[in-house]
Amino acid sequence: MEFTFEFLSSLFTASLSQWYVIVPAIVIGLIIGAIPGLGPANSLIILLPFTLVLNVETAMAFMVALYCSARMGAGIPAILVNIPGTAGAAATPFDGYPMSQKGLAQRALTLSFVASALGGLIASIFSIFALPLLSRVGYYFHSVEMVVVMLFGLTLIAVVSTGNTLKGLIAGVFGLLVGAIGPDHIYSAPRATFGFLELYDGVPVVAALIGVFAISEALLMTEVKSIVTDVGKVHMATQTRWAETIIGVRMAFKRWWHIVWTSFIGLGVGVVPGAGAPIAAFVAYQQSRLFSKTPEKYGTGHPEGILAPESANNGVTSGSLIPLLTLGVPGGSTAAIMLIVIQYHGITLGPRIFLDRPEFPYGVLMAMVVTYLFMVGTILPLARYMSRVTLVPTQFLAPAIISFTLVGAFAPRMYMFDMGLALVFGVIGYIARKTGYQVSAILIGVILGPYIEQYFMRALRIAEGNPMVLFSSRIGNILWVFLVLSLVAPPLIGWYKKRKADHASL
Amino acid sequence: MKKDTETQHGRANRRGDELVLPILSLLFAIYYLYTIKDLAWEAKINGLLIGSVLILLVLIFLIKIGIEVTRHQSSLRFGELFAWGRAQASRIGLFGLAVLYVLVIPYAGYTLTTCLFLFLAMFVLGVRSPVKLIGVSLALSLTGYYLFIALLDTRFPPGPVEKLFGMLF
Amino acid sequence: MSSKDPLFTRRTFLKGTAASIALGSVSTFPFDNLFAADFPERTIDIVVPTGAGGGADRNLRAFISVWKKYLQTEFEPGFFKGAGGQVGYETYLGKREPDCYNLLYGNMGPETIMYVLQKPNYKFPGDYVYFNRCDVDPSVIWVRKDSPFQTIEELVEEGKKRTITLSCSRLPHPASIGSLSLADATGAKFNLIPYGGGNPTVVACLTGEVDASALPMANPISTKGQARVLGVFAPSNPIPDRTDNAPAVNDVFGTNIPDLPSARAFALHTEAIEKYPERYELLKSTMRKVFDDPDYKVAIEKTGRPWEFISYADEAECMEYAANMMELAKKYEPLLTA
Repeated sequence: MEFTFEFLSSLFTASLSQWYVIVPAIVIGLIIGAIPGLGPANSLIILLPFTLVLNVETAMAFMVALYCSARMGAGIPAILVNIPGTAGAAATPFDGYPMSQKGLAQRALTLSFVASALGGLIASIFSIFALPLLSRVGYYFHSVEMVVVMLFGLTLIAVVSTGNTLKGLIAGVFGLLVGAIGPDHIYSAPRATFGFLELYDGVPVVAALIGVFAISEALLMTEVKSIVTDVGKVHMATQTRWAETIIGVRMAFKRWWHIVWTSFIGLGVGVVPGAGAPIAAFVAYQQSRLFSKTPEKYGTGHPEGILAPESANNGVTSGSLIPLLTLGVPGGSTAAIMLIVIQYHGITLGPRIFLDRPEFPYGVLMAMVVTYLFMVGTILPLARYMSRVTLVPTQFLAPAIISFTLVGAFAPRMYMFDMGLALVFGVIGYIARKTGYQVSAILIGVILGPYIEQYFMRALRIAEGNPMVLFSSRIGNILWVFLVLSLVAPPLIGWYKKRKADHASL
Repeated sequence: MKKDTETQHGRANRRGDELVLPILSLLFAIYYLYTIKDLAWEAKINGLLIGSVLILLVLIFLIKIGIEVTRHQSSLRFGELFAWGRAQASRIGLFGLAVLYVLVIPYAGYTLTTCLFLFLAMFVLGVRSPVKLIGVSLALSLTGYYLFIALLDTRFPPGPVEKLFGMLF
Repeated sequence: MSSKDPLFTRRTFLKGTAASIALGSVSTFPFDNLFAADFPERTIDIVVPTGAGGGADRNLRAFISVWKKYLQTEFEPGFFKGAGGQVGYETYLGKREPDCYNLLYGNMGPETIMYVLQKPNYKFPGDYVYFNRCDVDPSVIWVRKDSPFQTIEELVEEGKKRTITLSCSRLPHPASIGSLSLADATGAKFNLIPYGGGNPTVVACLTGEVDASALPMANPISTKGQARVLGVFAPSNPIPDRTDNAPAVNDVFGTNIPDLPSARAFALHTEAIEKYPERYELLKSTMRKVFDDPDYKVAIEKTGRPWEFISYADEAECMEYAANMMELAKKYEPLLTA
């Protein structure tokens, strides 16, 4: 295959000509992404009758656009009302919501949109040029390496617990144990299901997410008239209409390098089959804070705290398609739905397609590039209007949140049980918030717990129970060193700085 | 959400609220360990590790509180979590309605239940204008019907409204 | 598969109902409808005990795209994965009306093994009946194309020197039982690593995390040239030209390992069959017609599944297969459960 400028430009033109499906898909994706529970995979199943009748290139452009914009959409409620639309946006409220409370929702949304679009764009362009290279990542990242990658995300429990580490750890480990409800990964033996069949496949993350974040937030809202502070309201009233959007764009571009490297975290995590946006977002947030000169500002409404997870979870989008395009095996649920459409049209993915029909896999990635370009223009102007949601009095907002998110809890599996489960998690989340336990620590445990167990148990089984397997791979060992450094370095540096300052003051 | 855990001017901190989650965690961990006791080691190693760590952390926390209580720095009385007030009453009302919502949906269908829930929940939270109460609950429930049922095909058990719309369209 | 009517959802339910009523008067199958007067008058729900987007999803969609020509109604698959199929079966048997409007589309092999090992809250045989087998997919052991192992003998030989790791979909699975039987018979050491589904199991083998893999034959075939099938747990290889002429395992080692296919089939509540025998007959007769329809072959080939795997069997044959699989599961129970 000739990888020439002509080849790329013809792909780009072809993708541009699909604008008539890409733009509606972006709008649909933003809406379904913003409603908790309605992820891209569910929506693509519903839309299969439509995508199957389109020609395959158009269908792929539609699905890719919907997938990417749903990722971006999930950040919107995370910022506005502290409720991530999907687990992939679970790290976005850490800094997004505090900004909204300060009356800076428009700026926060702009930061999220620019980071999502730019992060997604960078990762997809890089994927086009490095597809053969990226297709090899899966050959080096096996269970052992993934255990260590997960641990990076897990250290966030300690990060979000600053102030009261013991309580944070209790919350995080409690989340991990909740995440371990359901079948074990070797024998599928059900554990701690309270006799509920609906828990035999584990705790549904969406119900947990909705309960811990949305329901508990709605219950807390009864204490205030508005989620924006009085100072924040004054700020919102005095700002000119587009000023906050412009400030947000400037802030994001000023931190372009941050967006670039966190999008690569997303891409890397996305390439590994089975891993996905939640892991990428948590790891990116943790890394962003680690390398920051002002780590203490994270969690208070710090711009980088929005840029990192949003850039990473959109970086995942191109990565997650790579196992599908290069091996012909979907790495996640959305890719599995795409495979149905691709196979229906008689296209066989795998290494041979790069010889027989290279314009297809590269065309899919190019459709993603075009989607991200369109997305900026579509959504950026909306930040201003969306931010007004934060001004809706809580007596309207709280009931609306409860009714909409409970539907979201029901939607993925269609079990009434999941709505009840969301209420139970709502009470847990509410108690946690009222008594100083970090709900984000609980959720990190619930989301990452099953992944880490799965990789850990596989690694152990491959090594016939020998735990030293965790130190048996070169890449794994390098990651271990980085992990230890990332845990040890910040307190050491802090201690050194303090000591230096003490000496200076003497 | 951070709470001040330091003793202020000798007045004992009320730590009862903070014990709720650890106690729940402890009970859950014990239940978890009980359910895996007869499984093969590969099926229980993860739960055993996490459960033990959780129990350990909770015990450390309890000991810490216990020491504070014996030194009269803290008390085990409940604070804000169980305090009675207007916001608490609204909260209990709102949550009760949410529970009813989940229980009634299978019988009355999504649209009707949502409309009633929104109406009552807004009333409980202090909205008194009939126009707002009726307008907002109708608008939101019909938007929900269109979005979730007509467009996104969420399969709620159909109630009278869904059946009526089904006959009309 | 007709490109105009691939599958349907509840949204089309109302339109579909109206269309069915209208079409009822001009039905092309008057004799079928004579016995089941007003059946079906609404969408038929199909419980699938695995996740959306997997092999079952693709095959089922291919089947119903043709079946709807004969039964003239809409179908709505619902995916209830979890605990090796237990969630789907318990949902079907506990929460779906036994009225012939609710069917189950399962994989008889792994799911009857699951029944024996996990002892769920229903009775089989008793509560439901498998009545229409759609395909038979033999279990195989396979490696990636550039693997050092070229033949099943080489793999077994190596297995006598060190433990060979094999990815499998789950432990209670015919392919897993086949591998354990082979290890048992030859003295090789095989370590089965469950990956919880066909796709991740394939990836684990292709990316070199494990030495080999035990799965139904359709999985390595779907990798289009990236896999080498080493041995088949069947009397003979149904598609030797697409699987590197892989031999039957019993022929190579002179063993007596039973035939271990995966076999997807429709199932129905026993109570529904007793209450509505005429509906059951209509379901059976219209399903049977699908297998002779050329559109079905086209639809199956589009899914990438070999047409050679498509093989109808009736209730008696299905239930005999399930009984055999249960016997095997009992034999290997200690190795497959926690």
